[in-house]
Amino acid sequence: MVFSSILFIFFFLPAVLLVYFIVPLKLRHFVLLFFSLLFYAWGEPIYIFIMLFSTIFDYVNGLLIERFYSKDNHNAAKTVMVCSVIVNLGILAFFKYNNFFIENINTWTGSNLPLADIALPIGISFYTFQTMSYTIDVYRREVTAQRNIISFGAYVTMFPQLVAGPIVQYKDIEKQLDSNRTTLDDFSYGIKRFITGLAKKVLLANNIGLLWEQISGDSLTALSASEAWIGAAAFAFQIFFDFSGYSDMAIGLGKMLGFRFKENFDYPYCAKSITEFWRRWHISLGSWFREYVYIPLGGNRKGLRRQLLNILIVWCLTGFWHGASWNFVIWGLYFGVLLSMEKVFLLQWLCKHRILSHIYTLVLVTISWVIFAFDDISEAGLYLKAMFGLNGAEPFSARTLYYISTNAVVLIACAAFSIDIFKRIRLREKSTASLYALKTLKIAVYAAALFISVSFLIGDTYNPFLYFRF
Amino acid sequence: MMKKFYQIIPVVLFAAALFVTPVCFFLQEDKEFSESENRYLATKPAVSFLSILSGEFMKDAEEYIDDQFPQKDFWISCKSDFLRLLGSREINGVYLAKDDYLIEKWLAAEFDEKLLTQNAEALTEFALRHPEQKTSLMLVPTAGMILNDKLPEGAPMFDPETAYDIVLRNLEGIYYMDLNTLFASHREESLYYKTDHHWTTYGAFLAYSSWCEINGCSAEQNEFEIRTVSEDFQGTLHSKVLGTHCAFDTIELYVRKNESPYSVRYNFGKTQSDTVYAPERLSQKDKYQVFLNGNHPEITIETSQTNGKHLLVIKDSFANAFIPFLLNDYETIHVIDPRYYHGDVDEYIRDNNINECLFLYNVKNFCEDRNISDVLN
Repeated sequence: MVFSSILFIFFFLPAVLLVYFIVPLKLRHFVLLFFSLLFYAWGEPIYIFIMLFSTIFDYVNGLLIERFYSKDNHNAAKTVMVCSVIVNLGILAFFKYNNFFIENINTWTGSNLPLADIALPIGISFYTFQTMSYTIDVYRREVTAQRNIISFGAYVTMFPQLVAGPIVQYKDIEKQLDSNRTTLDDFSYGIKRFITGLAKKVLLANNIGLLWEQISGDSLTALSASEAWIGAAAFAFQIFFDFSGYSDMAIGLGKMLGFRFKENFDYPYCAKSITEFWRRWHISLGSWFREYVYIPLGGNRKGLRRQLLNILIVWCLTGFWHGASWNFVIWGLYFGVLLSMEKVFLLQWLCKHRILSHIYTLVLVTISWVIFAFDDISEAGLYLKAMFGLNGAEPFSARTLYYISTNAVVLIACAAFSIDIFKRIRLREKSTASLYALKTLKIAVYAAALFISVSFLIGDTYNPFLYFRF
Repeated sequence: MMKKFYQIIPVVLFAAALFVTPVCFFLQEDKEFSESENRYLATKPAVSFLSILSGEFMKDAEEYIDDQFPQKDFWISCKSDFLRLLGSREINGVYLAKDDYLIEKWLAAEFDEKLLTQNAEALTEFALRHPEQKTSLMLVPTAGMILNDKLPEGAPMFDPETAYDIVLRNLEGIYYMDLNTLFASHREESLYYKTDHHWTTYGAFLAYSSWCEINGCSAEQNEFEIRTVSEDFQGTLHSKVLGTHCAFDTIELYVRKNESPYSVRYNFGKTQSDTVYAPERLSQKDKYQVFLNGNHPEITIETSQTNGKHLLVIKDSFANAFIPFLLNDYETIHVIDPRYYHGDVDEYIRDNNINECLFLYNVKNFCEDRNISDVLN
């Protein structure tokens, strides 16, 4: 099930909220677990068992590690932790990367192994990372093991963040599990945040996504440079509003249920360097890799050469995490190289040139999305050629004007919501009368956004789920 | 106090929206057919252990909810109006063209060269198999080709010139009737409906006059009585767009003065009629079905003529507006729609003493047709 659907908004969500707030506080985790399993089973009736296995497995691992610690048996505790990591990564490898490995073995050795008939279980990359980091944190003694299997299950399967993140680390939510009361303030905020995310996904991402689909579906050898750039920009907007919209909805739903998730996006297209971009984009993934891969590898504590190697390793893995295909690895390495260069010398230069650094970041990020968008590397190559006028097509085509004119308002809205201009307006307002007027206006805007989003969802033909590869 | 008020209002509004909608949904009665979308709607899915396990039930349930959503037409036209307000020039694959024309989008990426070659080759093979029968092909241009100056500036549209090249290159033993030049010279007149992808009766009349030049029949406009049978037609393109901003079309019938009586038998005589029109269709959404009562696998028309001419028309829905013009020229007119007809065409030709064949398709339909080559072979 996805949030941006009639089924979720008008059937699943009211049912969850009704039951969640009617039952006694003690039963809330059970309700949450039950509905989360229903939410997942709706799209993946069989694969629910993998998720349950992963949940129970790491629940037991956490308890075992604590037991071994209490007996002062550090080696046994470590073995359990390593076991957990291997099994979790094994599940991921089997269900997500299986065919990637088979295909590559076939290509390299000329063998003809049959592909496995396995569909990728939705959200597997998110929940394996969460359960794995839980066990590691218990091992590191950063958290105590959760004794209540229902609460732990509710944490892992929690439907707001289940299929597309953010990656919620157990230590961030440990205390909230004990006292997740929702205040009126929280609930009100949660609604607004959910509508914001819904509108971002349905009104901005889906509409600008159509433009990208059309341009990238055209003959790439005849694509004009102007069209190619409009298309790439459209995809950059699509993936940002889709993904951050999803995170907004997750955070909003979390709030309604009494949980506070960390922010996942912070106006990434305002960044003035790639380093800054990645501090603002998919923050929960960046911090996960930092905490569980980069720092354990030695981080920046073992000299510059080792640090650069660590960066490349982390980014190779980050790319690979996004999908079982070479273009994602290249996409990750592309960022790894850029981040290394910035670390060594570029950042100092970028600091001194505010506007140039902004352009530099946007152009390089846009190029990265082209690598990200095409599974087929040669197609990405063709598209990049078109962007730089190397495909022999004319640099400007009449269609470009059509694309801009028919999407003008959506493009302007995308640009406006990509920068923190609305945040600044909010802060400047002072007098009480205008404050109330502004608040009333805001409620009207949210109501209208919900209304229009619903009208776009009904009978909609284009409502893609972009993270089926994650 | 005020602060609390501003916190409660969103909660109340949101809760109202979330809880009232499903209640409305469950209280209303299911609709079977959507007039505005012109299709059957999904009905309540059956629950079974297997269908849940396979996920089939969930898919059906979602479809059911989408189809039966309360006031669905209202919501879709809201979306359409909003998009238009935002300055969008296309909705759901339809261009909002000048003078209230809705024009179907056709992209180069959608064009399948292999399929078209296969279709053209099937026609050639058919013609070579039937050298006794005079065979012609008429491809009706799309509104997007003829009215391309009405499209939004720079709007992507497939140029079917390559398609025509492929057809002509692969055609043998078939007389090809070009309508493009004729239509282009009459482009200022109403050749196409504004809200439907079909040609108007006038467009079909022009094609008939061109057909007559070759086949030696008479097509003077004053031989016909032009009857306006509907002034509030909103066709298939309107169904895709909806919204309150669409125009209304007029449907005209060209009835030959002093037409001799004839009989129409649909689907090998399953139903019969003494007219090629179906006025009862005019009270429905898809009023174009007034011509030949919509699409049928097979139609036989017996006229009062005794000239020994027996015509077989193999066609799509564009032919429905054209066939009434032929009543004066043939002893029998047989019609086969390969989308619904799955019998043996060669046998049909033998059994009915066919001595002329006409393939009549809209060029886009012909490019995308997946039945014609099967039925002809």
